[in-house]
Amino acid sequence: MPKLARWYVKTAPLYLAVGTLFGAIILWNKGLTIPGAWLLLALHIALVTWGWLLLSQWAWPTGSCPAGARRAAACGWLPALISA
Amino acid sequence: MPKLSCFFVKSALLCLVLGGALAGLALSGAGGLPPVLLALRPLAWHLLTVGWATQLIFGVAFRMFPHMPGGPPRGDEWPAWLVFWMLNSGLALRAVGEPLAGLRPGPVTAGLLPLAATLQLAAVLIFVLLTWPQVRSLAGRHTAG
Repeated sequence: MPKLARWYVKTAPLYLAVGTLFGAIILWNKGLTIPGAWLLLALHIALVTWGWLLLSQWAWPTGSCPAGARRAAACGWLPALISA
Repeated sequence: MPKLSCFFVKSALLCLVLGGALAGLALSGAGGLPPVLLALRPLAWHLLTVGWATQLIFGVAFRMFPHMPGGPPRGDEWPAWLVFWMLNSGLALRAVGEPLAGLRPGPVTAGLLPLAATLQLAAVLIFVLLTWPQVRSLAGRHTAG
């Protein structure tokens, strides 16, 4: 596994933990008022989408044909791009 | 595939269907939609990102991470099962609490959402703690190989 991929795999769970903590603060705020909780919204979204959902893709097994698997993963994004 | 991974994947697919339907309705902008559907937009996003994508990653991670030496193949499985049930009960509570809090705010509904947040946060923290040693050993094994 390349060094960069190792860093991605290691940092993704950390981003998930911190991003979820911010999300939990926002959700707690809907029941118990926490001043300034909504200021965390942008960070929450960025950490869990870029930090977790995108970086964790590097942990996906690529099997015996890494190039094919990477191509397949890239194709997987096409529907999202088209619908956007 | 381990039983727990099957549960994660099946639950993820269910969330995909529910979240997709809800997001489609909430974003359709069609006239005459009840305001509660607009209040359900955060739930739709979370069904798709937490319920579908994250749960799918959890299920695959549980299956693919290297076995720890000694003991059962994937270690003690009960904390991973706890992650599954906490994450899904947190999502379910949110699914009930979010529209209720929007329509009929009260002490009960005000308690549901913090409880949902706590369950989901605990599930994520347990997952990270469970997988951290395996992430380290996975990276080390690939370096050595």
